[in-house]
Amino acid sequence: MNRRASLLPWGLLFPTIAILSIFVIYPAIQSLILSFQDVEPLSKRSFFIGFENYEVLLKSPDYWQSARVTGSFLLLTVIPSLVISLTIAVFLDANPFFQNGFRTLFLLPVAISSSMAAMLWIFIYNPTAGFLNYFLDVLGIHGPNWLADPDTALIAVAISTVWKELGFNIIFFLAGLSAIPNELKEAAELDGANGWQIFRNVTLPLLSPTLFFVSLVSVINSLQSFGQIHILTTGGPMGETTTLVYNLYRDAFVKFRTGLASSEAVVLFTLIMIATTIQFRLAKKRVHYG
Amino acid sequence: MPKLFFILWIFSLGLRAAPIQITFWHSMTGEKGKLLGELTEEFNKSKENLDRFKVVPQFVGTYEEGLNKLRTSLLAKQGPNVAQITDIGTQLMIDTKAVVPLQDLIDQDPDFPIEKLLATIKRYYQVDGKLFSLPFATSNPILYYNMDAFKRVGLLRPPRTFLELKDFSRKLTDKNKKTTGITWPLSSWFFEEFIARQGALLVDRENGRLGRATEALYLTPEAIRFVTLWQDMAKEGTFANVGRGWDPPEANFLSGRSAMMFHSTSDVFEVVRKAHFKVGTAPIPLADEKNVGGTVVGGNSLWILKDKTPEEIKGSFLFVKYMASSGVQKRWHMGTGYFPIREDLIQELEKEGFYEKFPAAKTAILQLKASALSTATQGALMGVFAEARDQIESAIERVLAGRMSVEEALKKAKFQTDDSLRRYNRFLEKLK
Amino acid sequence: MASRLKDPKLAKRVRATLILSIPALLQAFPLIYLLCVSWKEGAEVIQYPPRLFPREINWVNYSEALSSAPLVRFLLNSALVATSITLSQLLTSILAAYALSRLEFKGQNVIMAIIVGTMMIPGEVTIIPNYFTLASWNWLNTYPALIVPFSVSGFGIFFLYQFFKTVPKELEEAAFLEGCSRMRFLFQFIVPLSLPAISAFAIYSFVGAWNQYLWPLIVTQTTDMQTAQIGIGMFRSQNESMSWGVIMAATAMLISPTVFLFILTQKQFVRGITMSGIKG
Repeated sequence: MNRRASLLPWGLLFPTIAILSIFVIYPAIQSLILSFQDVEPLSKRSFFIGFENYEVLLKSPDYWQSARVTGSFLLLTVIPSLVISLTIAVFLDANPFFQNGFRTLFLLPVAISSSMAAMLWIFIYNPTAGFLNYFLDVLGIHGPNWLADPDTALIAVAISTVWKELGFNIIFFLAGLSAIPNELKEAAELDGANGWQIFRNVTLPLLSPTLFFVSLVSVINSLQSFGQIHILTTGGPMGETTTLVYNLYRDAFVKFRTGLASSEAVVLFTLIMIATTIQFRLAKKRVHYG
Repeated sequence: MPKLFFILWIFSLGLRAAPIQITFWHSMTGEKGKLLGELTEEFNKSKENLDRFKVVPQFVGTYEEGLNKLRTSLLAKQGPNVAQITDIGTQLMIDTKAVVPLQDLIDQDPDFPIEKLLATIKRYYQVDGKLFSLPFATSNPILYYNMDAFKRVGLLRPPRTFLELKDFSRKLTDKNKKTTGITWPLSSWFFEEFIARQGALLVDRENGRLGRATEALYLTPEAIRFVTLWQDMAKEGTFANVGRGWDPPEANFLSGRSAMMFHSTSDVFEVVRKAHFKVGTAPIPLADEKNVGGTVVGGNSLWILKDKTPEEIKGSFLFVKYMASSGVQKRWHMGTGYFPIREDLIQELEKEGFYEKFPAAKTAILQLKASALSTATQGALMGVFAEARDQIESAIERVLAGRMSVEEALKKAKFQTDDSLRRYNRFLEKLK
Repeated sequence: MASRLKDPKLAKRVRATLILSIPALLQAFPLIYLLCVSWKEGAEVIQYPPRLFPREINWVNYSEALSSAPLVRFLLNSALVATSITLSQLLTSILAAYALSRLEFKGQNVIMAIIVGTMMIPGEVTIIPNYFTLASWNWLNTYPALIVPFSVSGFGIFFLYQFFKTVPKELEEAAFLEGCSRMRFLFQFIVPLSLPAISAFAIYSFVGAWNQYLWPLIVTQTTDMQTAQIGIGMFRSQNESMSWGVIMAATAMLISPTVFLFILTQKQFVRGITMSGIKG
């Protein structure tokens, strides 16, 4: 019984470990090795160049710009997304009329891939025939050339991203909200607390595990954003919508600079690891498990 | 018993004669993709082929995506037989050493109509006199203009020089009606074309034709002149900046918001058809009255890859040859807007009165024929062309956004391209 | 008494309904726009000033889209691949999360750390090495090639781990006293209790798999293996702007299965939530 018990976890974990090793860890190690090489564009041949790729990155103003853009993009997508989706989830939970309909409606953009969503939005943002600028015109506002103007391009991409991601977060929040027993909320109400106080002191703390996850998911999604950027702006104008991930894509698959792209991947991995560790530390302090 | 053997023998003949598969990767979508599929099917059924080969067309994404797919597959030795590659990928393809130069196969086939191909088109894909690929979908930038809008402001003909361009655009811009004189995609292609139009080179070593390019020539007076023109018109509001994409300028022109546009001749039939006004076409303007340069061909070409069985290479060549035939080129030209690549076809269409019905389609041909035959118009060769385009486009964006002066922006782009070239050439040294 | 209780509750409901209708309209607008554009023909699409609703409902774009590419086949491929990926991710995540959250064994924390670590590896770097691996196994242009590399999700394991951990130990001990095996406990107790989390992850996984573009593009070599995303790529052309109506029609057709799927399953999901809500 003891031996079977000690083998069980390994048996359960075996498929996971096998697949991850072959398809994730092995390529990652290859990447690490390649980051110290300069790789010929269309072949596998390469030669060792030590830390040159990393030096190039650190000295490259374009790379620092992509780091800045990534940070801005994170803020522009994660915060509005969390706030809006939480608000919507709370109101959905309050059992409005057409609850089913609303829920379905909010969830719909999730069914669309980011590339398809981008195809929609590129048309909406079209300076000539697009609806957004026409609508603003009617209101008397002269709409900018959303995707071609370096000051608005990132915001435009962020809006389309938030539009698409809302549904995800709402699902998770609804799952979390449903686990909060009504009795607690009612008890607080009887104690004389108003809606906002109930939310702050009862709902929010109990929601903290969900909040932690949704923010983790949002951050990861935002960092991995690709389809929208690729279709809406291809990283322009002037690199103002090129995130670290998109920069990696361009270096790897457009400029065929495999060595450089590998070093970017290593840096990206490190950054994500740091960000995740920070989030975990915060979670330890603030998240209450039932 | 003999009957059985006879039947088996006939059967085995059939098996032996199963057509050899030729994979053909392309990036054509929509109407063009459909037409390409039809043409491929016709080859399969043709008498030139006699069922020996079966070409299977495969959509592989945009040019960029297709090149990636090709690269990955080459690394695993799983590539296609024939690949449609964008023009700027020429040097890269040659450097893979994974292609069969078309010239080698042409030399063995006296039947191939090599002399009938337009010289100006051939030259692009020729390196050291050797033709590497078959120019297939070939295009040029042209000026499209709204004849009705022109008439309304009293203009009777399209602009011929930069000065006229500015002047006419001013007349056609109406801030109240929200119309502008002209628009075009923010693409490096126009930068390259207008440099060649003035007879200047894009990179050193005679545009990379006499040896590997080592330096970008973005600071020539010709280059500065064009970008300054661009900047001036943007500042005056006579040029509508709708970004890097190729679609928004067309939408802008067709909706009447811009009276003129620079765009590829490959869309000429569609533009004329879809416009609600009379569309005229003209060559792109000269810098001034002197015509010293010309235009470079754009588009894509068909490459045959090696590391395949001799039979497959034979089939690939047969297919490519078929695609160069008059019949196919006629259908392709009339179905899309791309150039006919053959002189004899152009004359045939003339005789049939095709260009009287569609004068717009002839503009690019005349423009190309009027081009000087120099290395400037032969087109630049660079392994890092995709990067260079990105760097140039960023420079132009900076100029139009008012963040940098023309000289500063072009200088920055030049340094970036020089660096890319240096790195690319380093490979070829280190990995002999 | 009853009527007095109803009033503030009713007011709450009405207020929620009104407030929600604004974002709902904003969410729906792009989709309505999509349909309208797909029903417009030719140049009507780019006219200025733009009108939202088409002059009349035109299906010409739809027939054009259908004849340009084998959309049905693409949808079937996407459906098959995405479903397989989701199911295998669910299975491996449930098993792994269970092992890590409720069993005790040496090396537990190391494995957990490694799994979390894999979540952070950018997808782009795995593409080319994986291509080689599959090429050497002769798996190119097959369904396994599209499915197997993504059959495990570090995120799923991590996510379910957190939920599994919240199941009280007393429940587990009670079950063991009754002679329940570990595996039975997993599937008869933990899974049902974690249904909302599992459903949420299933949706996340499915959409992620459905969304893939770069990998299927590189790995498929024939049209009959290509997925819906590549199908959309076929309409997004290099130099043409005219076919917006057709692009939208193709998009509309390619998203309708997942949209309908969502409309259906979200009812199940609601049931899942209310059930666990009752259990408290």
